[in-house]
Amino acid sequence: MNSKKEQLGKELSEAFPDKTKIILYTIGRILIILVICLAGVRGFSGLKEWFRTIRGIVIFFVIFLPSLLWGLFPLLHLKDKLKFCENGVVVNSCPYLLSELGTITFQDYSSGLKTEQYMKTELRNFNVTYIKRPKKAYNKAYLNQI
Amino acid sequence: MDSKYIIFGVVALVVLFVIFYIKETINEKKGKNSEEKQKVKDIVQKATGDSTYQSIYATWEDFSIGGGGRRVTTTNIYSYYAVGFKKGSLCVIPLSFDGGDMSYGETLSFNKDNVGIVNAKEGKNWIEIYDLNQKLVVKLMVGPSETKEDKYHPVNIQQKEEYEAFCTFIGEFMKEVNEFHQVEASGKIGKPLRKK
Repeated sequence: MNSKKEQLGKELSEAFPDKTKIILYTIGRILIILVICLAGVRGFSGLKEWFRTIRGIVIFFVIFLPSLLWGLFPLLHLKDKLKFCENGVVVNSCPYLLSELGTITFQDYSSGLKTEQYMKTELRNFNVTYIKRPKKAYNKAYLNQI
Repeated sequence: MDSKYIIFGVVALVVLFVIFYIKETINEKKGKNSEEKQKVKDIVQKATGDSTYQSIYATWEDFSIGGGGRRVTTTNIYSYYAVGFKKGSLCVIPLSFDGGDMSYGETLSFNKDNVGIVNAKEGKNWIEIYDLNQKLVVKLMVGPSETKEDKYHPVNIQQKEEYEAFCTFIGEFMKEVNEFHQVEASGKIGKPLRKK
């Protein structure tokens, strides 16, 4: 890993997490969870009823806690980062050499309402959905600007 | 069915058509001497270092269907090029777009010495370039009018004169290269050689 880092060369450009997108996605997910959970217990008054029995509390947390984790999941991407260097790319602090990545292309993947963006390489595909304008950083690093 | 629903449907269709027509007309007007058209010209001049090249914007769109079982996936791959052409020489410069930014890559220069076969059809707007080992290097298509539709169709460029000139050039370049290498193109996309 260290030797790879040494081989990366000079840093050419960087792309940072898209905080607005991450926060909006998290809020959206939390709202969905709240609506579904509160509908399941018939509103805030129903919530009180559920919390009167152990069984109710257990069921509520079995549903609610995993849902909450799913809702907060986009926050993990606040650490995402792409760094383009002379001889390689650093994806979330993991270095890859251009020689092993091969041709790099960007691909949008749509499925229903969900749209994801991938940086496709010959080694593997990196999900860069939560990074702000990764292609701009790539273009800045390896292509000519006009 | 209630007739008012039919009327509502027809009105909605007419409104959508009018919106589409107005948008296209505006984009076509914008494309006549657009910034993007000038950028393509500048890129060709910068990359070739030769002002005698005519420039044109070209694209290629590959569509494929994949997946398996219940899951069907469709993949569209868009490629964009700034193209410079003059008698006997073709320069292709890959473009990349992000938002309003246009970037360009390394220039691919072609002439009868480094091209094995040119596959195209006389008078048509597409061309495939194969190397001396008959391996595909690049394929592209030009249109007289390119309008901004979405992030995958990012420019407004009107290029009717360039389009006509390039279609003529395709025929001439194909003849020159293929006669030089004594090969005959099929005129079918993806199949360079005519079967004998």
